[in-house]
Formats: sequence, C-alpha cells, structure tokens
Amino acid sequence: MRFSAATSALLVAAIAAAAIHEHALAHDAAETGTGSLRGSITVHERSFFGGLREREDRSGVVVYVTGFARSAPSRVATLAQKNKRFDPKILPIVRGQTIQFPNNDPIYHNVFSVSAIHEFDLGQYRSGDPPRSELFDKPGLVPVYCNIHPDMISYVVVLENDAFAVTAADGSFVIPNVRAGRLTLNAWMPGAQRTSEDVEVHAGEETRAALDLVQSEKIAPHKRKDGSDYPKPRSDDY
Amino acid sequence: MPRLRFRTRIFIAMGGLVGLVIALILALLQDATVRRVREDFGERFQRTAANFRRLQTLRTESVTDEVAELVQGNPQLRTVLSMASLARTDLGFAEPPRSGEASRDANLRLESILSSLAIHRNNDVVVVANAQGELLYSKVDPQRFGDDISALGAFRSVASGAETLDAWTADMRTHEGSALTPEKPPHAVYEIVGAPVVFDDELHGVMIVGHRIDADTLSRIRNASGVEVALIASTTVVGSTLDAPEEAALAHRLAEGSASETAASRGEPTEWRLGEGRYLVMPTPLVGGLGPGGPRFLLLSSLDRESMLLAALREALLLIAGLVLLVALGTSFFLARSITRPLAALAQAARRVGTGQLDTKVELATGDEFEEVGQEFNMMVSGLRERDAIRTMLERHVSKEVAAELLRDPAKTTLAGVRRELSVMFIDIAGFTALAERLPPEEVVSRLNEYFDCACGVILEAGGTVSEFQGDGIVAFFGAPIAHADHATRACRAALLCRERLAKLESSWASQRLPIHGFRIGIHTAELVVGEIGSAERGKYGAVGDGINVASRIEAANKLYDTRVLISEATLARAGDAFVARELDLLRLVGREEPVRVFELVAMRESLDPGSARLCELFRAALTAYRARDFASAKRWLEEAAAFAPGDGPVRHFLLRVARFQAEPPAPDWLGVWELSEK
Repeated sequence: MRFSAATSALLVAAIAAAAIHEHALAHDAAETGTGSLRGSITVHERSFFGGLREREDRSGVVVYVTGFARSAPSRVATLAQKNKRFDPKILPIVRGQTIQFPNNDPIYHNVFSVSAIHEFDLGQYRSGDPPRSELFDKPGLVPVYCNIHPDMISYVVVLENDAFAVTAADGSFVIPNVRAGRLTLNAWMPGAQRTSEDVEVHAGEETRAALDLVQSEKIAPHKRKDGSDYPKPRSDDY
Repeated sequence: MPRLRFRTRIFIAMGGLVGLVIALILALLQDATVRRVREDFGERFQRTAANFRRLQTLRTESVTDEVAELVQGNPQLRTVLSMASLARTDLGFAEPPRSGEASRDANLRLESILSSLAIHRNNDVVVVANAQGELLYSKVDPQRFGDDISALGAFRSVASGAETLDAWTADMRTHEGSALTPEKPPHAVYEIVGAPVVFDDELHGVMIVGHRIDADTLSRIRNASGVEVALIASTTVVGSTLDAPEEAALAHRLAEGSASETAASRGEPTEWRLGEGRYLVMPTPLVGGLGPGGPRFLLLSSLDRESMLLAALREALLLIAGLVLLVALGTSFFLARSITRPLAALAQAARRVGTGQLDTKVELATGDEFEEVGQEFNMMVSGLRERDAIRTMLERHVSKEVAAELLRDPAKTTLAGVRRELSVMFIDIAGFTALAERLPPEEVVSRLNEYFDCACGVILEAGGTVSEFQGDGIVAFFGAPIAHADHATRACRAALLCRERLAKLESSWASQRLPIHGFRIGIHTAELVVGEIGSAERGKYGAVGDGINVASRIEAANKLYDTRVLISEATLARAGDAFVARELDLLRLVGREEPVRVFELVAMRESLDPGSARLCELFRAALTAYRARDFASAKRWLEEAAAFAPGDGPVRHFLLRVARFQAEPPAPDWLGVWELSEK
C-alpha cells in the first residue's frame, strides 16, 4: 500500500516538477547573464554575561539569493539518517527538487513533517529497504523529523532558485551562478533571525558580501537540581 | 508597726521565706521548662520544616520529571511544538508565514495528543507555548491559542533553561487577558513546573503544568509532617489545616499587616496567638527562589501541648509548694514553741523572783541554749539569794550604807578573812543581870532591845560593825569590813555619842525606877584577823586576836575607876588630837606581860568644858606624883581634884590607892603598874 502511495506521490511530484521547470525556464529565458557572490558570514552568539561574541564555528548557515527564480536541477538531493541524526542538519534545495532519505542506521527510522508548507510522512523503514524520496514543490522551511527518535531534526529549506550556499566552518561562502541584477542576499540558520542585504550582481563579475547573524541563546542540557540527567525518554513511546 | 508576738513573727518569717523560695524555684523551674519546651518545639519545627521542604521538593521533582519525560520523549508533542515555533520563520520569500493557522493546527494537534495523557488529567494547569511564547494550548480553555505568554516568569525561566519552579495564583493571565488558571476556587495557589522542548540546544517550545494546592494537599502535608499548614497568597489565607476560628484569626492577623513580620521572621519560628491557641509560626516558601511577597506556606505548631505540660507542671509545683509551706509552718510552729515555751517558763520564774521568791528554780531540760540560760538563771537567782542573805546578815552587823557599799563593791569586803588593824569596842551594861531576875521576861527583852537599838544605832552610824552580842554586852569593831583609815576616831566618836545617848536612856530608865547603874565602854586598837567566822549554818562576821581580850579587859576596867569610857593608848594614838583623854593608869592585864596604858575618853577637844580640863590637869599632876612614889603630893593633888569634882571615880580610886601605898609602899622596882586581877 505504502509503496503504491509513494509511487503515485512520485508521479504527482514529477508532473509538478515539470510544470515548475517550465515556469523556471520562462525566467531563465529572461536572464541576461550571471555573476557570482563571495563573502563570509559572521555568527554572533550571546555570551554567558549577555553580551554578543563571535562564534568560532560558522558552518551551517544557509546563504541564498532572492529576487529571481530558476527551475530545479534534476539532481536528487540526499538527506541521510546516520547515527540517529539527520545529515545534513540543514539542507537547501530548489523548489521542485526531490530529496532522497537513505537510512544508514541498522535500525528503523522515519521521516515526516507536519509543516504547513509540505506535510508528508515516509513511514518507517530500515537501511536495507530502498531509500524513500520526496519532492518538495513549495518554497519555504520544512522541518523534518523522525517519529521514532524525538531528538532528530533537519531543516529543509525549499528555495526558488539554486543560488545558494551553506557556509564552511570559517563562514565563507561562494554562490557562482547568480543572475545579474539587483538582488537580495539572505543568511539564515536555525535559531537565528534571517539577515539580508541588497546586492548588485553584474554579469561575469564576482560580488563580495558579508552578513552578520545573531544566534539566539542556546539552552543548556536541562539537569536536575542534584545535577543528574532526567530519565531518558522511552524509545517505545511510539 | 504593730507589735507581734514572737511566734507570729517567726511564723510570718518562715512562711514568707519558704513562700519566697518556693516562688523562686517555681519561677526558675517554669522558666527552664518553658525554655526547654520552646527549644524542643523549635528543633522539632525546624526538622519538620526541613522534611516538609524535602517533601515539596520531591513532589515537584516528580512532576518535573514527568513533564521533562513528556517533552523529551514524545515525538508527536515535540514535532507539533517545533512546527509551531518554526512556522513564523521568515525566509524572505514565498508567502508570509501564517502563524495563526500554524497555531490553530498546533492547538488541535495538542488537544488530541494531551487529552489522553495522565499528566493532563492530573494537573489543573497545562499550558503549552511555542519558542516565541505564543500560547498553543491551555487546559483551562482548550480552544484558546495565540495569546502571548512570553512575559510570564515561568515561561521565561523555562525558556532560558533556568529553574522551572513557580507558584501561580488564581489571577494568572496571558498578555491578552485570558485566564491560565481555573476560575474556581477564586483564591487558589498552583504549584507550577515547566520544561522546554529542545532540539540541538535550540528552544522549540515550552510546556508548563501545575496542580492546585488544595485542602487535601495541605492535610496530606500535615499528616506527613505533623504540623499545621496554612497556604498564604500575599495577605490572604488560601487554605489551611487549622480550625475555622483560628484560620479566621490568622486571616485577620495577616490582613492587619503581619505579612512583613512573616517575611522578616523567615526561618525563625515566632509565637503567634491565634484565637484561643498559641502557635509557633514559621513561614516557608512554596518552592525555591520565590520572593517573600509571593505565595508561601506557614507552618504552625500548636503550643497547646506545651501549655498542658506547663499547666500540669505548675499544678504539681503548686501542690508541692503547698505541702512544703504546710510543713514549714508546722516546723515554725514547733520551733516557735520550742523558743517561746522556755521563754515563758523563764518569764514566769523571773516574775516569781520579782515577788521575792528566791527559792525559784527553772527546770529546762531542752538540751540547748535555753537549758544553759535556765542554768544561768538559776545561778543568778542563787546569787541573788546569797546576796540577799549577805545583805540581811550585813545589815545586822553594819549600817545599811555600809552594807550597800559592800554589796556595791564587794572588793572592799574582807569577809574572806584578812589581818588588819581595827578598833574594837566593848559595851556592857552594869546591873542588867540583876534586872533580868526582877523583871518579867518580856520587859527584859524590851529594855535590852532599847539599849541595843540605841548602842547599835550609834555604832552603825559611825560606820562600825556590830560583831556579836554577849549577853547584855556588845562587841563591835571599826575598820572592817570596810577599811576605814580613821577607825579609831570613828570608834571614839561613837563611844562619846553612846555615852551621851545611853546617859539619856539611863535617866529615862531611872525615872521608871529601874536600877540600872550604868554602862561601860572599852576601846582598843590592835591588829586582828577579821572575817566571816563560824560553821556552814551559823556564823558571824567577827574578829579574832589578843586585842579582843585587851578591849574586853579595858571595858571591864571601868568598874575599877567607876568610869564610862576607857580607851587604850593605841587607840588614842590613832584617834589623835581630836579627843581629850585623861591618862588613868598603867594596867597589867591578866595573862599579859606588857602593861597597857589606859585613858578615860573625856570629850571632843572642841567641846571640852573648863571644869573637865581643870580636872584633867589636877589628875595628871597627881598621876605624875603617884608614879614618882611621891604619894603625899599625889594625895594633895587628888584631894584638890576631889574638892573640884567630888564624884569623880578615878580621883576617889587613886585616893584609896595612894592611902594604901602610903601605909604599905610598893616594891622598890614598882614602875607605877597596877596589877589587874579581876577579869
């Protein structure tokens, strides 16, 4: 039953992707040239005393350009489940793109979301099972979870074009194929407010940009008064 | 101040003392007990409070565990909260986030998830919010969502990962004003715990649960801890395990503004009076870290048990005090009696002694000081008795003045016997023996006493001592027992006075035709032993010595010369020039080798009449001639004297003696001494 449902979903996704692609092509046709964006993101976090300080690790920030649309590449993105974690933690894709969710753990996993942007549930499957996929055809943030392991989360960011990058540990990023013109450069990471900056991208040129991101306070692992951990959640809850 | 009897005084003193001591002991005991009980209560209280807090903590921790387990272990709940928190994420493209819809969706999902959970059923307050503090679900109003609770302390502390304990009162509301706690009861306090939903250290939502602290909770606490509990919000009593009147009193007290007092005395039990009962009160916070103004517990421990204990103690102490007081009073009664009884006996004895019963004896066999006092008293009375006897005795021998002086200054007395120079006086009445035969005995005694009174009176007046009566004779001496230096003078003066008085007496007797020829007085001065002489029963104050006999002989010699007063040379030498004496003779007394020169005491020098003086001169001339064996000249002088004083005894006597010596001259070795053969 599930298989046929997945197939039909895939079918629907394929049709939708085709439609979007057409739409994107219409945009593409209007492109006059592309430039590139290079820069770095500075991540600030709150220090213990409340002040802001720069974070060492600046990876995991999605840097993307808004202001034009481009059809999704045919490449299928991968969001793996490994060691009871989603990998990567944050995954930008282009609207209409499909994500494959391979289970690399020897245990059952599940992928689902109840996001208003894209609600789906791939059911529970093992690593030996064929990896299940999902096509995301609506832009927006789609957090995905595993209904077996309550700590697992990944943020799928469905963008309108492929002009995006995820920062390296030093915060640097390069976005090669940005349509020339006056655009907006955005940066976002979970737990932070998006920051943006208008940039002028000229065809064949590289534009430099830098953004600051302030990450909200992290919550320290909650301990009991006596310092002991709370009892581990029972894994057979669901 | 009224005069109280000794018994009353000792009664009052003993009673007062014992009462005071008992009161003191009572006060000390009570104080110590009160302190002990207080300490005991304080300790118990602290222990209970600690246990109570532990209980609270355990309870809170258990709920906290429950919530934590839910928010960490329930994927559905976590997902819903995470979604609701991320729904508003603005990525700068696509459609603007419709948070309302996401919240509505979350609300629906949460209702369906939570309604089947035990934690939802068991708690009065269940509040779920997303990371931004937007209300997603509240048990009080399950359809309500979207309200802002980000300003609530509980949300903020959970969201910051801090301590998630809090207490909510019934007026807890969202920013928009909708209630988060049940409407009823109006005054209620909820214990709140919360837990965050966290993914990778990121906050994705907050869940808060709370249960009302109701009467049942309070009574459970009471049963577990053993102390009364009252739940206070601000200055309102939300609930308590107290009885209605005491709860009302507590409410009144809190409303009066004792809240600050409560706050100030945190951690230290204070004593409050609530209604009829007294309580030790200690405020203890509901959960850790809440300010003093917030909801709190009052732990109350009734002091009634203490009161009962103290009352019983006081009762027992009063009983003991009463008994001791009784015993003390009884003891004081007997003690007083043991004092007043001998005193009364002494007083009575003293009264008897006062009335002259000197044979009074006090018999006190108390074995203590009173017995000593009794013995002393007896000794005193016997002393009085002796003095009385002495006085009586003395007064018969000496004048009252002398007696008084002797008694006043016993050192002057020589009762014990002493050798001393005295003047001894013998008085005798001639012819009394014949009179005694003629007159009836009563008359004799009466006359004799008249004479004695007269003579003794004079002797005593002169400071002499009447030693004894020898028939109709009197023996007296001067210079003892009081050692008058002028004893000879006194004796001579007494002799002259006696002569005068007795002459009058004799003339009065003569008018009554009583044949009393006259009296004789002899005085001699010599060293004698004087003292109280006699047996234990009978005795006299008298003198012993040869001088007594000499005096007696001299007195007797009056018969020879028909004189009244003869004194020895020794007496005259002592008496000095105050007296005029006529030397009469050299007498060899019977049994004595040494002759005694005797004089007739004529008069005081100042009252000497010329006739007597003339007679003395003539007699001295005659005596000189007589001793020179010139008896013719002696006779001539004597005849001249006889012509001048025809009745003079010595003159007549010497005329006879001279006549005899003329006829029969004495031996050639005659020295003018006259042998006195007669006693």
